[in-house]
Amino acid sequence: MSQWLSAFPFLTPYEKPFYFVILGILLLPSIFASLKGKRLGGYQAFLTLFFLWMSFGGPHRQQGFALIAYVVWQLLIAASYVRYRQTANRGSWFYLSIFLSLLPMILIKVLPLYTETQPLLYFLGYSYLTFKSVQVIMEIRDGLIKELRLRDYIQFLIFFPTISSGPIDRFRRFTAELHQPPSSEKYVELLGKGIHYIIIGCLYKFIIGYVLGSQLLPIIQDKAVNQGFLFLGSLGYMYTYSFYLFFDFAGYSLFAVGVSYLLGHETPINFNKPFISANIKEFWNRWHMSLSFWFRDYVYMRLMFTLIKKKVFKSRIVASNVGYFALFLIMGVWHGLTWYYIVYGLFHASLICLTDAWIRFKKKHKEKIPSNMATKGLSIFLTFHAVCFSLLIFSGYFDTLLKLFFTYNI
Amino acid sequence: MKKKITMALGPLVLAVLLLLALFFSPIDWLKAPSQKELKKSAPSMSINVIKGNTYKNSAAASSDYLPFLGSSELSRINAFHPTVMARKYHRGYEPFLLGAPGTQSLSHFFMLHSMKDELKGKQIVFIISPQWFVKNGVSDQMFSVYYSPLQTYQWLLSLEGKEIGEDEQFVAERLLSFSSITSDTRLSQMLGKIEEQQKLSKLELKNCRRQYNLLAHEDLIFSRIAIQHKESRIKKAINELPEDYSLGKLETLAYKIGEQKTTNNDFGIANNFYSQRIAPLKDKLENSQTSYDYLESPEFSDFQLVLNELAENNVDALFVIPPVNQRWSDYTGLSREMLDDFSEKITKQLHSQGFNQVADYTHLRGEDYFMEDTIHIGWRGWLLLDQDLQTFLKDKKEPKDKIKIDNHYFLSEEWQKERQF
Repeated sequence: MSQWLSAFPFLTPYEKPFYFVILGILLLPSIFASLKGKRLGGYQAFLTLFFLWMSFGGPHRQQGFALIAYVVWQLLIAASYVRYRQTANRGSWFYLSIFLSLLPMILIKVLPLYTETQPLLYFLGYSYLTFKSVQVIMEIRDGLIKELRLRDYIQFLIFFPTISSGPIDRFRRFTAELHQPPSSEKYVELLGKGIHYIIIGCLYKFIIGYVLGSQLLPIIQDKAVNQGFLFLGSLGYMYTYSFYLFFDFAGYSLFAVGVSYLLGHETPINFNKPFISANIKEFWNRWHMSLSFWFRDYVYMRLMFTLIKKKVFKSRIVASNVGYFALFLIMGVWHGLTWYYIVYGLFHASLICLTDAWIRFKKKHKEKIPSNMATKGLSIFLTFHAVCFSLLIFSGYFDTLLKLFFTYNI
Repeated sequence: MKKKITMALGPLVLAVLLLLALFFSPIDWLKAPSQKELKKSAPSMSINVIKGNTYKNSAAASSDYLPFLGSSELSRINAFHPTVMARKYHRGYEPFLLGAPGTQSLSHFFMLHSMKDELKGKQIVFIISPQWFVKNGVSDQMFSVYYSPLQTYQWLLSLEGKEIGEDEQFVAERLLSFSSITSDTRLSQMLGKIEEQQKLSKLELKNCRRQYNLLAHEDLIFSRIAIQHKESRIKKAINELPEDYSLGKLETLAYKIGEQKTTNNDFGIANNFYSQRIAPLKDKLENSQTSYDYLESPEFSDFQLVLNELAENNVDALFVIPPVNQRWSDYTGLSREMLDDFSEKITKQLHSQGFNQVADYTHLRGEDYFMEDTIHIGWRGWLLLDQDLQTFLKDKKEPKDKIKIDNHYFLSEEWQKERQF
């Protein structure tokens, strides 16, 4: 037994193609049942536990314990708040619940600044689980979730295909599907799409993303930093990194969505040809969509609503701009407490505010501004480059450059 | 319905078949690099040459190349750079530069290990930078840049059938402190076993072999692209040298070129380095290095791995300890005493184990034009190294008899933090 255990291939979700071999075999019973329009609840629960053990057991068992503790903590908060909300609706209890729900994430992000080691609370995907937990508290407050079946909530939180990096699903959508499995007709369609997504995902992540990220990026960085091609090399790094990030993350997201489909869950898609966006707003409707929609619904809209209701700003435009800066600043901080993530957020907020101003200007001077294929092409070109530059900031490239130039080697 | 399912599964079956075809196709069209390509790669310091095996191992196998392991100083090409001197005066060897800004002992260890068969019984030059020996050793960021999965799997495979020793345990422990390693679950699982002195299972070794073969194929493909041409810079530098070798003439020339190239500052730093890297931050740098300390670092043990590897393969090495430009260190407040202590500590590690070929330039820090800038050997520095190198190459030692490796002490935290030596 112990020998078998030591040979067990522990892997984080979709880490190696081998993950899919195991997945393909173990998913079969569930697929057969779904083809008959049924959901094997018990078997799917076993699958969840098995794959979580694969990713959070063995060398990662510390993270496994942290995950269990996290889920228990969130259950306590959500269960208490839903009970409270059935009788009263004071803002202070809502904010306290939100704070407590965010607390593990805050600690995981802040503690390493002092200790230089990863806190015991850390586990892969903690920030994505936080989006799900906070969302549930907010919808309890709104009265959209009146009762919380703990079993449903646990399944929602630890749904293994999306546990490490999303897409961020919605609780009500997920549970509706949980109790009403897709018809066999519908499932055949999902099965086909799911397999297709996984194949495309392999092409994106394991082939294109790997070649760009693991093989080409270091060579290009070397050119830029060490071999004297600073400008051209950095430009090359910007394009290569942007495509690498897209193929790596879109590939991962296709896996998560594809595997969800095989399990009979229509997890929302995350990417929709982001690089053909004609402006930055469209970009955020096409890039890491589940994240930007989450921020739109749970941060931006709520903040706008409060700001306008309480008449904090006279002008709606100012309120909207403040909302964007809040949104992207939080998104930056969420990515990590380093200067370049925050600059990345502020850069995007500025771009969106500028885009809004441009759209207002365009509306006023409709007849004077041409709109044709050429202008459309130009806006796609400009948007693409603005996005690529923001991703270059995001990559930490400038941080490496500054360190190499001004701290190492002097 | 059945048709729909076939439509869904068809592409999957096809994809698997194509993948299998790709895996088992012969990749014979990739051949070893030609002599010309090899010569071009020698001074390139390209990252794919450093991380790969294709070029550096072919070079190590041939007797035409002399490996120089080091870091950023290797890129300071001027008339007295080893590559230029060797070509101009037909020295019979071409320096193969293995290192780049940010490579430290751990990368050098893996490089040496990956070409140990080719290097057996030969000579190398190893330039030690005091700047590597900081509190936490090589940074996570820099390690990940030069981390070579190929060389790491090759090392794992070399453990087959061997009892796991203290040095191997240390390597595993060190690797597990870097994020580029821990993000690979299977690799960290295997390293975890080695850290606990357990052997890898047959299945694990089989996986390693498969992974290694895959990475070796990738190396054949990707190490070819984008190898840096430094030929024009080297040719230009060669033309600055007198036709016939004359030490006196060269010494005068080194002094003269140094003088000409360092006119915009009082530190004896090359003009372009000064205007690009120092001038923008000059005031901030004053007294900015007073607390720098190179005496306590895991790097001392990482360096021990290098020594161990050299001893095991009977490689004769000339160690070089470059100074820090004194006029500059006085400005930044970097302690001379501390640097002297560093030189003593590293020399003790070398001498006490029988590595006696040490060119320690620490005390030449005040010599004009010895350094090209702050911490990199320059015109007169390279020239002195050239003389020491000729002596070293002439009387090749048989180091095996004298070397006495003490891993237990030098891999210990006690030695890493030792301040009395």
